[in-house]
Amino acid sequence: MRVVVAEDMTLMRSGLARLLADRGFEIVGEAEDAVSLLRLVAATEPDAALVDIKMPPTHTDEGVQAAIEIRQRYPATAVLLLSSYLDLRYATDLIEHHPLGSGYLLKERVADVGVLSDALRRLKRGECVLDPAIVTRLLNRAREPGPLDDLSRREREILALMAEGHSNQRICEICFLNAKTVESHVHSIFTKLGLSDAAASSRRVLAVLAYLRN
Amino acid sequence: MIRGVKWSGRRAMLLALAAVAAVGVAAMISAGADADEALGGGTLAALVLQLSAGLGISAAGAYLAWLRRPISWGVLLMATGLAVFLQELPLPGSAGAVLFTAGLVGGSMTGVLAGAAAVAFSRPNRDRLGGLVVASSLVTGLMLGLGPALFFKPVQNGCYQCARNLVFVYSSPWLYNALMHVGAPVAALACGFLGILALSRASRRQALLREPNGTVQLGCAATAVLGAALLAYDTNASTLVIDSTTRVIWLAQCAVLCATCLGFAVSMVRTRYLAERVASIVLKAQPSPRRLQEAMAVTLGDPSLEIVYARPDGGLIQADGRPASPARADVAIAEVTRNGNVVAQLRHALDLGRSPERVVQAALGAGLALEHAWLQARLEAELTDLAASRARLVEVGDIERQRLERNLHDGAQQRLIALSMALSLLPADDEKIRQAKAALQEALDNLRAIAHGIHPVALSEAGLAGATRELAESARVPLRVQPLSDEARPPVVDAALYRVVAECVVLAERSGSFAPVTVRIGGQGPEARVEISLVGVEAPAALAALEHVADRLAALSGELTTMVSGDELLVQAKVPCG
Repeated sequence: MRVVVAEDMTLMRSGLARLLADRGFEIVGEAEDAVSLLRLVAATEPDAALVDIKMPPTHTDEGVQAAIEIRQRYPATAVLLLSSYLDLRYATDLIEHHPLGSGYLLKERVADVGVLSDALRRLKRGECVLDPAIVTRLLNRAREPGPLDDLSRREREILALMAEGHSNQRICEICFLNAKTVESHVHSIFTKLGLSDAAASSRRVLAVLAYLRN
Repeated sequence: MIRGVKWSGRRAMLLALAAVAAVGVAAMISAGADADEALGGGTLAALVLQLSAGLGISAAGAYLAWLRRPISWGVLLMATGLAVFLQELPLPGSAGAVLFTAGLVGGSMTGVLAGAAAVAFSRPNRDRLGGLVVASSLVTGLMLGLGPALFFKPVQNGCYQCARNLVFVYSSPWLYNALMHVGAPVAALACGFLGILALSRASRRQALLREPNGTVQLGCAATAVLGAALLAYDTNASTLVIDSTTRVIWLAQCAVLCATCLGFAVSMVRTRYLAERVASIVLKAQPSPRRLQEAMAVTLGDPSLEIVYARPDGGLIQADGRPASPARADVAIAEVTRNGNVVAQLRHALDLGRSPERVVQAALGAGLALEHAWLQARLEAELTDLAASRARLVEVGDIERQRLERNLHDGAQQRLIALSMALSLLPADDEKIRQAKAALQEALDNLRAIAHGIHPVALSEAGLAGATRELAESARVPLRVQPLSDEARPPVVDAALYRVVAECVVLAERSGSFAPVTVRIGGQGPEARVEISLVGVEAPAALAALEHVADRLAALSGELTTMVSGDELLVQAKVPCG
């Protein structure tokens, strides 16, 4: 799998490249800002781009903007945003535009052996990836009594996995359940939350996130 | 002591003045007719001098009474004027007992009465002691003036042409002499001395001598001293001797009285003029410096006239404290200084500069009001500066926090992440490495929380609405964020309002009630506003906890208000922006 890395901090960038190379990814280029990233993607058309959100010159959301542009112009290139912030704002900016092949992970997640390569592979398959820490925070936030309280523990678990962007098949694997059971759980969750027709669509993550945020 | 003269008293004063004038004219006529026996002689110049002295000092007395000054002042000056005329009366040749007796009584009184007046003028305050001093000097004056006459029998003293002494009691040349040549002079001298002493001990004697009261006090004291000399002259004589010496002393006394009246008149006019000017300026200037400028513009006939004031640092400001624009090329500038420092600039039309004395006079007249406006403008400017520096401090603080937050992310956090990447290259099944990774993750979480607490990045990137939305995702109480206005505000305003929201959320979290917190972000145009409704939070605790955010708002000219209704506490924060 061919990957480009965009990160303005040399230490992080080279660390990432080395880590990915060790896991068998082919690093086809490194960029230190959004402009050179776009140039690099245009030149190499990689399978995925790892993009730091904050890059020169303003260190605000250059990475997000570049990611949106990449997803738009090079649909074959998936994008994984790397961020230091738990803030959902950046992730939704990207996922709202391109729910498929887009992901958002906390930077420290890359140190976890399996997580990074797993995320990249999922993205390549066209799934959506959202950091579990963000989903957990969102799911556990204080909220007024509502339909969420009616979910069983298993259903909450499955809801979290859906929010992280996992497909039903992945959920089966993770929870050791068969496809039918998962499907019925998903259906039950969506009925309880009043999100009937988004269950199977590509916008499922967005629907779940929108529900959890409000 | 009588406090001022009533209307009838004023009229009486005018009548008394007329009477004294009549006596004066009569005395001058009889002195002219019998020049040898008249103390001042019969020359026209002498007569005019005496008439002026007597009339002048009486008129001064009447005027002071008219102005409702202490009644003793008016009476004593009037009496002194009368005494001047009586003393001039030629005794042996006077027709009739009344005139003779009047001349006899008045003959020794000018000095004593002038002395009494000097003492009275040294006590302008109508206090008890003052009243006592004035009354006793008045009584002493009258007694000593009247005294000698009681013991004077004309024939026994060799005056065969003299008419009858109407106040005669007992013939005693010795008593007459003692009272006339010793008692009266001593009293006059003492009074004169007291008057001068009071003047010399006054704290502002320089200014006092230029004022009407001081002039009269000094003149009367000098008259009293001269009068004492006159009476004490030739103590062997049976009556008041008339020779060249006494004549010179007497005319000098009259001259001193004339000078006193003149001085009184001049300083009265000056005071009157000053009072009018100050009064008009103060009237025009009150209450605002803007009206001072208008009044000056009208007075000088220059509608374009502009007054700007000087700051201690040399900068120029308008009356409201805002910086003044530089002077245009088509105006002339007159600088008003005080103790060598520039207070204000009068920017006036060029053609007004052809008569600079008018500008100078106007500036002098406006002095007090100008200085007042100057101080006010400086105060305004300092307050404005202070408010601006407070706001700047808050802003600088925000920027500094933002920088700290970024440094933590870009520095410490990146290093920790790099470290965790390095750890991931080590064998994953080692328990110690697993523990190190867990500790590292804790450190990262901790660092993230600290950085967020210093400055939520959403605040600078997504504004107040975005930051509040994000706060709702992590708060331990439910947040109802109601219609969010995404209007762009200055970052410092957003930060101040966000801190109010965040502090309220902390309050709600601590209260343990778990009741939802409602946040409304609103305010249009020039005013940004948030309203937070809390349930189960005590108002005093809230006020104490919100004190520093209230200070932050105040530094931006905003305000924080709280309202309690039932168990709901409504916190409202407002900041002007734009």
